[in-house]
Amino acid sequence: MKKWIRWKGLIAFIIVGIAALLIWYLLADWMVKTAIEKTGTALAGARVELKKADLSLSPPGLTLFDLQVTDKEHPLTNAVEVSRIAFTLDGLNLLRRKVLIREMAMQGVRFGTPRSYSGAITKAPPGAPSASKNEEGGFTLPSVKVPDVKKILQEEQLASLQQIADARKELEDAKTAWKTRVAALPDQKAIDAYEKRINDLRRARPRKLKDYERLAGEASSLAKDIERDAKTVQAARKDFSATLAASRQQLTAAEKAPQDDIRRIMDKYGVSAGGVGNMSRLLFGNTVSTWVGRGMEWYGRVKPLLTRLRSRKNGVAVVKPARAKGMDVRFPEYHPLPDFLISAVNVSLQEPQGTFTGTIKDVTTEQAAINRPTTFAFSGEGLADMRSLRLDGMLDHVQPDKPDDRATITVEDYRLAGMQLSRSDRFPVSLARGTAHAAITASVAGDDLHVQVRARVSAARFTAAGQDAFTRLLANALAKVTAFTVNADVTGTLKHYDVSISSDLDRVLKDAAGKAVREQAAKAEKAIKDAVAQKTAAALKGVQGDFADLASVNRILSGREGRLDDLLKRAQESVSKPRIRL
Amino acid sequence: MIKMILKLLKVLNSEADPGQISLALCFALLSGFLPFFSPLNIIVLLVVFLIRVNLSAYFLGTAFFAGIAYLLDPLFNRVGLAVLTAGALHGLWTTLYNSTIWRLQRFNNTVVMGGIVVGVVLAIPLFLLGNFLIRTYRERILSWVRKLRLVQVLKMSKFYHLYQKLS
Repeated sequence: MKKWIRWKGLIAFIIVGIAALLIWYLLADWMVKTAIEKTGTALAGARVELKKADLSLSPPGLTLFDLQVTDKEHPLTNAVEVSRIAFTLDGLNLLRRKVLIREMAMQGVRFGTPRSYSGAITKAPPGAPSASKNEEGGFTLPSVKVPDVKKILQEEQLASLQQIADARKELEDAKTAWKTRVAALPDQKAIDAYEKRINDLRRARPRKLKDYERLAGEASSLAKDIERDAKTVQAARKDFSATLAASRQQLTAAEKAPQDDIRRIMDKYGVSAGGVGNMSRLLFGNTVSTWVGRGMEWYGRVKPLLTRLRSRKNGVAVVKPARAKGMDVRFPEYHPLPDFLISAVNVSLQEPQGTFTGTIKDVTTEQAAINRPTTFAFSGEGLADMRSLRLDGMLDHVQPDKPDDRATITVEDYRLAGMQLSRSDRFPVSLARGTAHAAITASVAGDDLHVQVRARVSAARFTAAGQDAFTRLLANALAKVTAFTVNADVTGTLKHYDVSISSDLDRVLKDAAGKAVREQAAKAEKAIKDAVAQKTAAALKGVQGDFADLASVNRILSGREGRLDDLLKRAQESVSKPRIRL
Repeated sequence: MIKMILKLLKVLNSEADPGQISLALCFALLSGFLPFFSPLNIIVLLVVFLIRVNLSAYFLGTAFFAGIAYLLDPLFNRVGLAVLTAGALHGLWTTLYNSTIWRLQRFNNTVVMGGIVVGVVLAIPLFLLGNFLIRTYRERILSWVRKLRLVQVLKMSKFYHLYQKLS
């Protein structure tokens, strides 16, 4: 046994162990710094740098100085930079590979700080072609130009001309037919002949009885002839009345036809005010979309840290360790605790507007283990550009399959200055000054996204320049606005969402635009009316003349009917009261 | 590589007991298959220092088996996963999992467990095989080399005496 035991080896082991511990103690800070940089770089996908790490053993804790995390999308910018991070650890649980931090202090947190060199760890792919710039600067206004009347009338067929021509042909056919018919009726000569016969009968001086009989017979025959002709003329007049009524309807339709053409052309080429209904989307859409996109970007960065990817193999939970090979198999714990938990993080944010302070509670990737969601609350008072800002929220992943994340931002008296709303060459608009109060609520439940923005701006002054009459009207309307509200609602999913924006500026601009549109539309209508009237005047005059000619037949028929009726009366009197002198 | 072979030959040609060399290789197998800074490895190192095993063979073997372990990691992962997810052992693993000392060993990592299992399984056969091979080498090959004229002439030279003094 003695042969196999080497007591000197034990001494050597102790010496080596002590030496190793000493070396570890001397290099611990450097090793921690390197480990944080290496692990952080792997997790962030971009360079993570730390100026100094200070490890303390009693109590177990760590202080980090000047941590910089590069923005993966913009390698010359830091996503976040922290001047100092200090925390103590639960030593016993650390041996069980559980990082439990009761309280962490983060001071001097800044976002988007510039870097002096690129923090990219992989070569960037060739830049994608940038989207072509919208000529209007993303601001498209409806067109309210007066249509070119000459061109329209060259291109458009006037239905009224055809209608008038058809009416004219009908009237001419009717005129011809009635000319023929009137010619077949008893004319003035025939009526004069009747009158002569009546006069002859009246002047007759019968002496004998035979003469009386002869005269009575002639009077009776004359009365019959006159009655027959009178009935013929009467029937003709009745038919003519029907023809005249139909012709009058045709004339009325022909006279109305040009109005129908004018209305049709105005509907096709005219301008309505509907196109300027949602001007607020044009003015504020870019700003809202940018802020929503930024919020989505940050949420996308935070979300993966809320849940640890865990899978199951052969019925047990397994997790891929961040810095080791293989997989860690999880077994039930008698006193479950998450592998990583920061109970409270006190943060001091330094932004250009001022300093924000806040607390984040229960930061962990295993909320189910502590049965509490991660909550955060930040506030800033007396800031450079605003009176106050408050951010509250909760990231609830206690039930990983039913996540529910919420945030509320309240801004009071945010001083706006020179806020560019439209870069369009045709209608540049900026909010020169204003004071905003805004309340923003956002929630993500599963994949459903809801964001609501309610903002009120007072003491507003718009600066706008119009390049044409229409945009000048809009600019004038905006110049009179001193207060307005903007509401935005974002709904959909995280990958596909719709932004709807409304504002009381819509009414102001729509009224101004509507007035401009009405003026232009009236001008256009007058021009088209004059042009159509000019084109159809001659044809209408012709058809009206034809109708007048046709109507004159009525006068002829009336005259003849009247005379025949009169003659018939006289003839019938002659028959009933013969003037026979004995 | 050449340095390693020369060191190996030195160990084999030394007067060390074959059992000490083989046992050193067994411990080297375990150390090579385990993560270097794991607590279990420190225990193995303590045992290696305490027990009279050939340290040169141990360090040589550790380097060699660490290289092989890199290639065998997928096998360790599968073996470890099978062992850790075996239903019959679930109770045992749960008890160990809730013990701080055992958690420190990272026994629930599939590569660590696989390395331990494969190392333990191969240790005894390696010991027996090692013994056999070392004895065979010394009895047959080494004695034949020593009888060679060239070797005898070299052994007589001043250069060899100087080398023996320095080594």
